[in-house]
Amino acid sequence: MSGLPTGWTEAAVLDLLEPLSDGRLIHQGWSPRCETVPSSDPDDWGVLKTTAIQDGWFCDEHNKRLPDKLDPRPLLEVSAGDLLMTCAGPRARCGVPALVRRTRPRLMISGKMYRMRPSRHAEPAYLEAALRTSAVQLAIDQLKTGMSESGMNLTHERFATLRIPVAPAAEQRRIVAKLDVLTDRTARSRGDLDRIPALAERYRRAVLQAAFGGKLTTLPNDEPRDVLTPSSALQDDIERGRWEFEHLPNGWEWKPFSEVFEDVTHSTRKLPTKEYQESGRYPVVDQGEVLIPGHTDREDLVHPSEPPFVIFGDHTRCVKFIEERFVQGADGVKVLKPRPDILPKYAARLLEGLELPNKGYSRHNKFLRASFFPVCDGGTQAEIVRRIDAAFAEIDRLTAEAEAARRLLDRLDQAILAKAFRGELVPQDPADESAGVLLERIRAERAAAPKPKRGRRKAAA
Amino acid sequence: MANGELTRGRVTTQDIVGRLWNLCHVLRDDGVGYGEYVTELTFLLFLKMLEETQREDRLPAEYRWKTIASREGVEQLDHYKRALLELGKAADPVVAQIFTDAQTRLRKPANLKTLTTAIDGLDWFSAREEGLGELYEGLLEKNASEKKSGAGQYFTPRPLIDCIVRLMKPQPGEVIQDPAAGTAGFLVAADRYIKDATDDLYGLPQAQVFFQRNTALTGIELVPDTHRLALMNLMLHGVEGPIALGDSLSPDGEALGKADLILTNPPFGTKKGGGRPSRSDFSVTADTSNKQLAFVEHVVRALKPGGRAAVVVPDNVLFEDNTGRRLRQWLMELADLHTILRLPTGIFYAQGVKTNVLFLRRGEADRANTKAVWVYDLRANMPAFGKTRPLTRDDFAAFEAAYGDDPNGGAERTDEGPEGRFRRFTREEIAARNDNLDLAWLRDDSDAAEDDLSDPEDIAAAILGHLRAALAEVEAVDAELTGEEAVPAEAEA
Repeated sequence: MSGLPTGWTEAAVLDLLEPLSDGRLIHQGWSPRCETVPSSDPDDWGVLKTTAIQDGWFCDEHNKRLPDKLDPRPLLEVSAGDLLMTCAGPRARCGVPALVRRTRPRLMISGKMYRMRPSRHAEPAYLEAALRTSAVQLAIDQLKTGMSESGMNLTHERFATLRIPVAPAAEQRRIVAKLDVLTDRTARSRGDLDRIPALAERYRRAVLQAAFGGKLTTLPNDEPRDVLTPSSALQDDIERGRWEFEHLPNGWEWKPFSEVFEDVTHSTRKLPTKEYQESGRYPVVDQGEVLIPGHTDREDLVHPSEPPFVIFGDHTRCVKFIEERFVQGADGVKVLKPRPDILPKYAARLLEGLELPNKGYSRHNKFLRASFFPVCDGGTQAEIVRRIDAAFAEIDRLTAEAEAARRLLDRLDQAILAKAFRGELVPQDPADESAGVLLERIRAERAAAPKPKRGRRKAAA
Repeated sequence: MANGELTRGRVTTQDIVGRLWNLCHVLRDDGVGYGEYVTELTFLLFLKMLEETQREDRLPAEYRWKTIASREGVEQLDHYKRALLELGKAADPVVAQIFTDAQTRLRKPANLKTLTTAIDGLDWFSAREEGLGELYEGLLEKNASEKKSGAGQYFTPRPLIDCIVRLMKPQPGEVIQDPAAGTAGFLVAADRYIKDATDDLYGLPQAQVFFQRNTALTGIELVPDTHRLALMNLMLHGVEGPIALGDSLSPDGEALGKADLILTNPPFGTKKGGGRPSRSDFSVTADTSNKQLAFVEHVVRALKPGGRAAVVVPDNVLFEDNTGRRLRQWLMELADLHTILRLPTGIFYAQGVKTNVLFLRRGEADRANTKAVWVYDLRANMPAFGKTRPLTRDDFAAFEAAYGDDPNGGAERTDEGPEGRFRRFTREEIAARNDNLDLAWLRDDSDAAEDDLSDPEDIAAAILGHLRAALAEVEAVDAELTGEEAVPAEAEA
């Protein structure tokens, strides 16, 4: 076959398998009605769920306990060294391979998966890796049949036609060793990147607390803070938003909600969600995560006040800063106007920094109205807004980088696999026994083995 | 509460350092960046300290402290600039080195006046009591901990240095070397240890005293401003030894000579421009741009037979698969790598690098010196170190107890098992793992510790740490894929 490295050959997946206990090459399992819970006791039998099989990864905890009244079928018990592949399910979940490297006993394959055994003369993880390359996954995809995307099948006959590049046995082992080292690294990399979004969120909160506690603008060894006790009102039992500090620097004050915001929520001018349009003259703003979830041309519903506004989600506690005319969306939107002596952006950040008690989807307005806010002079307000904006912009940049890197990592893994199966990951060794010899050995061993008995009860459901 | 000191009574070094540090706002106003601040201060402090310790005879009369401090306005600034220039040519070699290429960034005479007045106004009596060296180190540490200054990469946290010095037990008469001296933290600490043990060198014969003061400590630093700070630091601690300005990975490093004890924390990061070491005596790392690997080769070569070393290295040195593996194999042949300490993350002022300390002893012969390696995992399940949780001496207590009192790792030790932090790996076990020394066995929940961070800078450092770690892994993959030569597949006809 042209294009393959020296010593390699192309062959059917089936040619790399050794017979299972009953002499057959592939088992399809059994899908009886099971309990909804996994089998927690290794003495109790369970049936594997297809979710136990993930791209190159097997997890024996995904199973359902076999009811006591049913007899198990030991022939279908999974053991280490088995190669499993899902053969039914939504398109993306059909044809997924996983090598069973270790498993607890007494778990059976279900009717939605195949079980086969790579020959011990070859390297089992090599076969698993081959089945995971995008080239082979594409080929598998074309073999799938089914009426709808959510219910596809990979039949035994069609699977039998699948062919892969086969390296000499010794080279297979070298390839797998190298792949292990590399995927270890990319997995660690992924783990590090996955930590970043949560940390970024912590960072934003920490910056806000530092900003409004006066830590970003006062000098470290300055005059000691006056113990600016919050208003005596704060000694009461009322539940309200909190801050992570109590004392403010010289020149700051605690102001109650009413001195920071004016509630200008309109009681009648609002647009129900189903009337949001994709485009229109005015943006619609509601309490959801998305800044502008829709538009409208309804001039009569535009909020009468002048921008800017700070929008507060009564249920979601979402905070938005809106600088243009807009239309209130569905219920739960609170429209607030910063008082004249408060910089509007400062007011918006204040609201982001306030830690309101989390009451789930109930209303939070009354806690907001009872809250106090740290307020400084105009110049300092502007400085704080600048600092927060800069810090947030920086962290947004880092988060975006991390996400981009994460996406690239997946492509890297695939690129590594592709390289491996072009024979470019490890050097060829002319002293290796060729793949042809390996296949011949497997074929000969199978020919000498006892044939599967005819008339056996089929293992498939 | 009245405007004034928070603590009545004795003013501590911390306070003075704090006041000095606050002057940075004066300098920032004049366009002096965080990174240059300590250098700028150093010149003035040096002159003032010579006055305070009656050592002004080392300076020409017209450039002593009072000649600058007593002047006013533009005249003061001009005189100061002249002083910096002339002192770089002083007869006293230490003075000349400290003021080599000395320049000031100050433009406004008023700012210079503010500085000299403030410096004069410090409580020098108390400062002298505590030791000017302590004061200076305090300033260096403050500088390092301000992440914006970028000075963190030249500064190893004091508790770590002290721990290493306590374990390695420098002795009078030994040649002690730091080939990446930074601000001379290790050298100063080793010197202090010896002085504490010998009652300040009292009772040692004259020749030995001279040796300790002038020859015992040696080192090299690459960056001129940092070199200046190192000289100043050593001088204030009563050490006049030669710290060269140069590159250890060049013939300068060969010229350093051999040592009985090497303590060092080579700089993190890759050599810019991917340069290779230019030493003729390097064999293992001659072709790599990985600086840390090259420094390890230097350390092994620079040790006398029987000499010992402690080297801080990033994880990469323990697991890198090409040159790294060859280096580790070579190292374990020529030296007894008896202990590895896995350090917690977040303790260095440079962001998020994962590091370890290698403790080793060069063999008398060059074969099969490492029989087993003890690894202490001080990384898994540790608090999230940072501004709100600084590293302390106590954090190393358990490790020091486990290490034992033999600097060469020969004390009796116990393998603490899979749940413990201290385990032993034989040379054979390590060979079976492809000579990878990145050995970890504890389940690590340190991600949970990160969730407790509350200071924005600490959190940002953690994020950068993860990005850096992710990048390091990918770079390793890249090296694996491209570093290997000769894998173009030969196609069949």
